[in-house]
Amino acid sequence: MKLLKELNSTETLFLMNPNKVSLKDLLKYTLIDLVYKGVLEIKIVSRKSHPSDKYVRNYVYVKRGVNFENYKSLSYERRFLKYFDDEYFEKMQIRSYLKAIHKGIDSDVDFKSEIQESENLKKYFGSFKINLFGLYSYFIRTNDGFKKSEIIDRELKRLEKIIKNPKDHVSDDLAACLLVGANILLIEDFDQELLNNFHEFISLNSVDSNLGNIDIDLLFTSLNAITYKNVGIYFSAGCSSGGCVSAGCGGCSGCGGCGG
Amino acid sequence: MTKEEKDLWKKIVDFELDDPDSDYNFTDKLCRENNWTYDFAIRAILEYKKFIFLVCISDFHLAPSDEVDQVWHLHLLYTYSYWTEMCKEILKREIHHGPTKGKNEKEHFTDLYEETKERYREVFKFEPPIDIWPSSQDRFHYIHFVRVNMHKNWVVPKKIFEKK
Repeated sequence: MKLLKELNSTETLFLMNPNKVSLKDLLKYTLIDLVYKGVLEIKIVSRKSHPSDKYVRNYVYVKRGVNFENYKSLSYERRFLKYFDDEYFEKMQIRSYLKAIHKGIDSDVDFKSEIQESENLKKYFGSFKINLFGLYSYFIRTNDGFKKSEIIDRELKRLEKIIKNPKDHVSDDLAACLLVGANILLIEDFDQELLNNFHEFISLNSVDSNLGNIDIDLLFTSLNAITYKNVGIYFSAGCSSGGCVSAGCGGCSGCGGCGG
Repeated sequence: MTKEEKDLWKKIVDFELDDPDSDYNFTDKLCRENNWTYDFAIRAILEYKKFIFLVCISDFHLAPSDEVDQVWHLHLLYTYSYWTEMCKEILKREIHHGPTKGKNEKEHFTDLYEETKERYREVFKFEPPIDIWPSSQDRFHYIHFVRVNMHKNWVVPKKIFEKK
């Protein structure tokens, strides 16, 4: 699984299907990857909005992670990190956060072009690109890029087999699964249950890893917080056209009146 | 910042203007009313919170930038959120908004605005962002605002006719 170790989940998705992958998926996996790496953190806080609030509400925040300060970001990841450059910007509700990022991108083509320029991917794409008025673009993979995407496809299938049936594999294979970063979330039908079973299995079998300084428990805690479905739900809310400013009025019927 | 000030700042940061369960929030409304990008609105709200914090820890009057003032105006319309939740329960004090009384106060407000930015630097230890806290000259020169019904009018920015 050499390639999956080299590429992050956004790059994997893009290389596999540069013209069909949706902007929302690319944004979602960029966030997931940054959380996985500990650059950002997603935190759910249940509290009252003010002392006399009748209800306890769930606030889902994005905030700096433990590796934020030392992380060398890729150009397309800057969109996700720039808010936290201001040290007083501690956290942001995930809905607003995703919406701000989404609204800040002029077109799918712009964001995809930024991804394509990343050091890991440049070599897999030709310099020629079909571009129609900046609205539609066709990204062309080199022969090598095309072959690599086929290898990734095989690697993902292998990853899926190991994770779904860990007892059939040797411990080196299991440890290798932990080194592919957030790519682990790209396997089909990935869900909380699958993750928990896998975690339980590798803990019981004391899979020793070549993970260096990565704390497996912390890694699984992060994964629990950012499963595809969790982030997907917030992402849909953040990017729904009805809530965005360009869509006009969100349905306000004027003044709510005074209480007197 | 002293410990008390840090505690107060945390309370202000934790105080959310956006309802997590709503699809059309304070930030959405702020964008729509000012034709701001979402990105800008989020930053303006943070600067508004900083301004409120400065008001609470300072013993002299402060003047906001127009951008911060727009956030303040909108928050004042959410009367329960502003007066009860923020002022009464979080800040434990009333913060009143005093409009200017015309051109004869311009010099006074220019001084206040400069003092506010100085206080900002002193407390937060960095320069206020120029797009939200513009120079005094811009702050008090470009102030002719009107409500425009965008369904019935087109607005053409003058700058496209200006020579580069």
